[in-house]
Amino acid sequence: MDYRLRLRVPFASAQDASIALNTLVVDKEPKPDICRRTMDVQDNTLLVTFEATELRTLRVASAWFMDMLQLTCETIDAFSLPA
Amino acid sequence: MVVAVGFEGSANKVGVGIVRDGEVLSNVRDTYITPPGEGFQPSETARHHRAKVLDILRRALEEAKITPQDVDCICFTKGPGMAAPLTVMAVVARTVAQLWNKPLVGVNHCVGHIEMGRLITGAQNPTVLYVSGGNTQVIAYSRQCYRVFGETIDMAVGNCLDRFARVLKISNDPSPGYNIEQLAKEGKKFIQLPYVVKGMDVSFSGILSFIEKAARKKIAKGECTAADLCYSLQETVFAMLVEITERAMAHCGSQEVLIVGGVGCNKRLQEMMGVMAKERGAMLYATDMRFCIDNGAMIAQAGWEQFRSGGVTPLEDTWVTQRFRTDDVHVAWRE
Repeated sequence: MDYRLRLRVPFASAQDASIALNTLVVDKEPKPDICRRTMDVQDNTLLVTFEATELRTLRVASAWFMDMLQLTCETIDAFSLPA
Repeated sequence: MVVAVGFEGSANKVGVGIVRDGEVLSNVRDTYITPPGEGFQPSETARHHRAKVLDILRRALEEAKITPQDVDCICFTKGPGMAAPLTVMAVVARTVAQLWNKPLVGVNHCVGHIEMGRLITGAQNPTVLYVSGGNTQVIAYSRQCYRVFGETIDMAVGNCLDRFARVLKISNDPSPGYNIEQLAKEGKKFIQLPYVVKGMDVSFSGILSFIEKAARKKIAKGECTAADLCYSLQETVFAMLVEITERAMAHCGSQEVLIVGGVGCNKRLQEMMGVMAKERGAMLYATDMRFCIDNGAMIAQAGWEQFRSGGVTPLEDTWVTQRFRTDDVHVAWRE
C-alpha cells in the first residue's frame, strides 16, 4: 500500500471519542485489498489511518469517512444527555 | 410499556418514527425528490438524508412528547436498500444508542412493512403483496418465517413505473407512481403490452422496454396519449400481481390479503385486488401513504416486536447490507 493518510481528531471527552470510534468502526472498507482503515482512541483523540494502493481510492474512502465522522459529531452535539 | 424509536433511510425517504406498544406516537418523514426524468443516486440520496436526519429525529421526539429516558430501544433498517443512505441512518442510530445507553435492534426493511401493515389494519394472518420501488414479493407466514411465494425475477414493479415516468418526464413530486396513477385516470385506449407471469414469479423489464419504445413511436404518430400508456401499464402490471397473489391465497387457503409498500397506496391496485378478494370471500387490507410509503414508524414497530422477543443487535453487528432476504428473518414474535 503506497499511500497513507493519518488523522488525529480531538473530542471534548474520552467518552465522546470512544462513541465515535464504536460508531464508525462497524462499517468496514468495502475492498480491504485496495484500501484499509485502522482506528484507535488515545485519551480524547480519535486516531485514524488509511492505507491504499491508489490515491484516488484513498480520497474516496477518506471523504466518505469524514462525512460520517461529521455526522456522528453533530449527533453527539445535538443529542447528548445533560450531565 | 416499551417505546421504540425507528430510523429508516434505505431509499429516497428519510424518516424517524416512535411507537409505544402498538401506538404510533410520531412518524416524521422527508422525501428526496429529483427533477423530472432523473432517478435518485446513492451518494446524492445519502447527502440528502445526512442533511435532514437530525432535525427529523428532533421533531419525532417533540411530537411524541417523550424524552430519551423514556426510550427502550433504537431500531434501524439493516437492509435491504442502498448502502450509503443505510449507513447514514445506522451511524446516527449507533451514536444515539450509545449516548442514551439503549440497545440497538437491526430490522429487515420488508418485515417492517409487513408488521406496520398488520398493526394498522389489524389483519391477523394475511397473504402479503409487498410492492415498492425496490421490491416485489408475494409473502405468506408459516412457522416463524415470512416465506416468499413469488417475486419479480428482474426489476421491482415500482421501479418499472418510476422509469416509465422518467421517459414521459412526469414529475417525481410527490412520487412518480402517484402522478402515473392520476394520469392513468384520463386513459381511454388500452394498448396491449406483454403480460409476463412465470409460475409464481413476475417480470417487468420486458414490459418496460416494450412500452418505452411504444411511447416514442405511438405518441409521435398520434396513435395514443401518454395517459393511455399509463393506464395500460397499470392495468397490465397490476393484473399480473393480482394473479400471483390469488394463486398464493389459494395455495395457503388464506382469507386475508394485505398490500404493503409504496406502490400499495395506489387506489387502482387496491380496487383490482378488492375485486379478486371479494370473489374469493376474502378480506382486503391496505393502508394509506403515511404507512405504505417507507417511514420510521414501520421500523420502530417491527423492532418493537423483535426487541420484545429478545432480538437485540450487538453494536459490532449493526453493519448494514444491500441484500437481506425477507425469509432470512426468524419471526420469533409470532406463533
